[in-house]
Amino acid sequence: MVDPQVVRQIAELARLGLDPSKNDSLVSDLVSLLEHFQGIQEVDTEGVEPLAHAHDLPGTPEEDVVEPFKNPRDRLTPEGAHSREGFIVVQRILDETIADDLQSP
Amino acid sequence: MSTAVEIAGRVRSGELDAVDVTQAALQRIDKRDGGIHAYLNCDAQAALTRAEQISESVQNGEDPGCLAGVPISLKDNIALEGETLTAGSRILEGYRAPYTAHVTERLLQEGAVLLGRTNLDEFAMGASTENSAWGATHNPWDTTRVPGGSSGGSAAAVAAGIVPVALGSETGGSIRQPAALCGITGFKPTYGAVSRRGLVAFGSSLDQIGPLAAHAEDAALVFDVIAGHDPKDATSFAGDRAGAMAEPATFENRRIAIPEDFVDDIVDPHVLATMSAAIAHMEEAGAITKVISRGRLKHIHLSIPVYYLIASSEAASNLARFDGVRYGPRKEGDDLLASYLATRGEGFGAEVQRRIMLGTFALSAGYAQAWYLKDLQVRRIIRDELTDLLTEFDFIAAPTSPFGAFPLGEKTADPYLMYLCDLFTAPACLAGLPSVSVPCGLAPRGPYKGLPIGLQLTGRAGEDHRVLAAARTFEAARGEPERCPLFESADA
Amino acid sequence: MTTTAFEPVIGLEVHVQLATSSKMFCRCPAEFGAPPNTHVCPVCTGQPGTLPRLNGRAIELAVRAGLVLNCTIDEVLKFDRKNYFYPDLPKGYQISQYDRPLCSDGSFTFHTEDGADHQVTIQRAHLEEDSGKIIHPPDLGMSLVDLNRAGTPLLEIVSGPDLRSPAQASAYLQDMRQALRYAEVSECDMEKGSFRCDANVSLRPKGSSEMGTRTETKNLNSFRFVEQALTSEIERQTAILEGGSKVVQATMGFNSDTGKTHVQRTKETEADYRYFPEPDLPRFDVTASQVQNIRQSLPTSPADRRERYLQNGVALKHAQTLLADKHLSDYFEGVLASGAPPPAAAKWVLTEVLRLANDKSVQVEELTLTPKRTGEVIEMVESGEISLGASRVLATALDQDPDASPRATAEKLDIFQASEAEDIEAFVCDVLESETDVVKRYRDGQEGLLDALIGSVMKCSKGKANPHTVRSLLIAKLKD
Ligand SMILES: [Mg+2]
Ligand SMILES: [Zn+2]
Repeated sequence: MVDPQVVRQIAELARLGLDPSKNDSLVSDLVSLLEHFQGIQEVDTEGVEPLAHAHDLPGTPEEDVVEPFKNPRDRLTPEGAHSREGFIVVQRILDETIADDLQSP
Repeated sequence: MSTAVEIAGRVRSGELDAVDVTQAALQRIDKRDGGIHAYLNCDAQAALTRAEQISESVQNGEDPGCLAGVPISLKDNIALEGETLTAGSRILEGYRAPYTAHVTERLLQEGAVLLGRTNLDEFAMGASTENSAWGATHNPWDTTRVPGGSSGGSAAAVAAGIVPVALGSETGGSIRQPAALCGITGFKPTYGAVSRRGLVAFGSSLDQIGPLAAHAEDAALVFDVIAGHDPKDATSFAGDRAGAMAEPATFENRRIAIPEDFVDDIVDPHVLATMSAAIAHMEEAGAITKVISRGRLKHIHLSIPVYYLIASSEAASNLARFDGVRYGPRKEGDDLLASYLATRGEGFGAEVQRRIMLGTFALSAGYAQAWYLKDLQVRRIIRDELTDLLTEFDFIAAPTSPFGAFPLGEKTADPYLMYLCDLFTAPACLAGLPSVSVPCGLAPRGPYKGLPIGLQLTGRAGEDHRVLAAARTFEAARGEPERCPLFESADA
Repeated sequence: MTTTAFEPVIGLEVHVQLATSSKMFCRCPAEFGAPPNTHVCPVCTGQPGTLPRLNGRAIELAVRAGLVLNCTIDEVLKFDRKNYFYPDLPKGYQISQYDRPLCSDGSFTFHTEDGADHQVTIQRAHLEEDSGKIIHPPDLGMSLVDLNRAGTPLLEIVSGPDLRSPAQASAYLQDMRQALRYAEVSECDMEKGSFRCDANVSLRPKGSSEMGTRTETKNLNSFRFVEQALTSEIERQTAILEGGSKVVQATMGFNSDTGKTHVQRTKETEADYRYFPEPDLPRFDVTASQVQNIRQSLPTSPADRRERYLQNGVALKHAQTLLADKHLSDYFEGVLASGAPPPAAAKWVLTEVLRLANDKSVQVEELTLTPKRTGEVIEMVESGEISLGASRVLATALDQDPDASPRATAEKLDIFQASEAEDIEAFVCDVLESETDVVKRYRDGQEGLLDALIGSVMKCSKGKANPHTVRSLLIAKLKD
């Protein structure tokens, strides 16, 4: 199920530039971990509602009142070469469709 | 060293000067931290300035609060505005937090003096503090051994007697397990009892901040300060702050379950023996204990896979923000994609990358049904088994960790072996239950001979005050916990 | 478009920016047009340790929209994370809704220009946060990120594949925009990006119920572009199918200079967004009574107003013009509430009220002349008390003085038409006596001279005589 090909795909999906020399050990680590984890596949979970939160209490939304954050550019954007006229600078995106998941909502 | 309760009392009454308390703690860092590396940094000047303020306010007849002048160390994944916040990772090298965590605000409101940032496994992923990008922390009981993790820096600082109490965070055992391995008290609150705002996220549905303290009473004192509703954390409970200090400390009529399902082959027999002796103390103090035969917590042994897959899935998403675009070191590449790959490939350590891979895999198309969703279902089964048992019992007792403090490097080669450290702590995290580890003696023989062993007591959701009262009762019944030589040393 | 053997099947996804003051998960201003990275905070820039703080107003507006779209509103609001990397997405994931959209199973009726009704199913409408913006200045070797927009609330509205032509698609969007503006859900300003559209289109043989392979054209930011892009895409797909080839599933780009679509990238595999429940947000309950309160606070929809106007005899063209601008339609509603007859009121509002507003360069609701007083003026015209010309003078006067009553002002201006028969009879007699020559010629058979005589009487009365009364009196007298 997990092979070098899958590991390469997952690494790209996770944007991890992995050291190729460590690829094999990563594959074997993941294979071994998933083997150890195989036990959950034997549990009968028919009709069991997934539990995504540790408690079932509902949240309370906030009022729609603006609270500005002071000096946001100084405190939240990078300095030096990674900043220009208040914008955050990134490497030129030539092709806006580099990969499937590189897109705006 | 005095307890936090004593220090605060004497600072408030003017008997003790907060500046002297801070000076002494700073000296202890100087003298004792060299061999253990519990601290990543400590801004001595900032701490002294803060202590002077506390001192002045006492002189002006004001009450600085219930933590007046108490030096408290923060795990380096809890934010304080303007200060560094590395989470043990190179990817946050040089980063300064632009805001302050809720718990940090609360400590400051009650007069605490923040003293240093403690070491941790990178992004709190680990059980030995060996995964820190800034070097491992060593156990003050034996510096060839690990302090546990991921809050190993906080645990070691407290065990070495540098501060009476420190904050840690836990996702699957990261407070209780290092507390056990360092011979101190560590408390993981009910999920939602303490605000997570300002805690660098690992597994958001599991993460909680909690105290590590040399005395159970100090853990209760600090819990009462940091717990309570934070409207800016949607998962924090509404309602009043807890009252762990006010809760009567007694075992009379308390029913304690001791499930056999918690006893696995991998548990060191001397750990079990130490725990049995501890249970006798509770019985003597009036507790009604009952061994629960195997099968009642039928799925508890699956806590490790369920915990690791859920926590890693959430982590893979939580750690996506570390892309070098807005903060943190950025590696340039041929194009934007290459820049992302390099920044994240070089910025994260091996264990973090392994978990991002595991989590991304568990959530990815074609595998999510069999792994991620299945985990959420088994998580519910595990939670229901635990809460069901807790309808009959006040607490569930178990060893905190299958192992005592193990030698550095012993488990680094095999990730699964390291993951097993969380075997007994992960269930309370999955179920969101409050759970405390208290020191219950030293292992008499075996690989952990002479090293501290922890007993954990898990209670019902929202009954944090009762769990902490049980820890205080246990400590009172058993007497002052054993201390390592560093704790007792007369250098300051 | 030439007639072909194929029928286009069109579905639209609309992203509407909800009209909140602050963002969806932090309290930064959601306002458009600020200097880059000034409306940001630790939360919306994805700083470590930050948590989302849900804006209650965003839920309310989403429910409002859901009700306008006749959707079922879920009793639970559940959020999920959609994971992907891009520099305009600070957290590396978008908080969205996956398997439980807040609004689902709705329908929306729109009208094409010919006045015909069409119904479109609304598959779902879900809440999500917007991304920031990236610009690619042409002469700069870098791209620039502005996170002011990051985290502003969006409602994504997904229609069924129910549209059959570019014109229908455009009409659907226009009516949807109008309906959402009426409900005050959003400004729906395409230029400011608060109303954005993605269009899915496929072709199938006429009469078939199978679905063909579809393409998606993203980010169309004007109605004209939607029509152009769809027309171009239908032509492109038609050519492919007529040539015996197959359409490949793809994301299309649209060039607004040429009006043509082009393949941007083919989707061999679906993007893997790794959706999972947002652990930082518990469920939020949306109670039946909350929904009921929101329902009651909704103004009548443009579709309902339109139907009522038409039933009450307002001309289709007038109804459309009134409804195109919510302020104007609201003004008109106020006029109707005062009891003025709808067809005349429509006409008067569209000429006189608009003229007043234009002269002053203000919105109609800013006029000093209130809808209620306008209603009284129209009634005075309709009952023949004042002439249309006089009503214009009166309206201008009333717009100077918020306290002036229409009747008292008309009196002061001395513009009431004399409609008492005796008064008018006196004017008629005067004219018949002085204009003996015309009277003689009329009586000799030049009946066309009646108008001249009416004119003389009107002149004599200084315009206050009711022309109808004058006419009948003259005819009667001339018979004598
Ligand atoms: Mg969307
Ligand atoms: Zn913000």
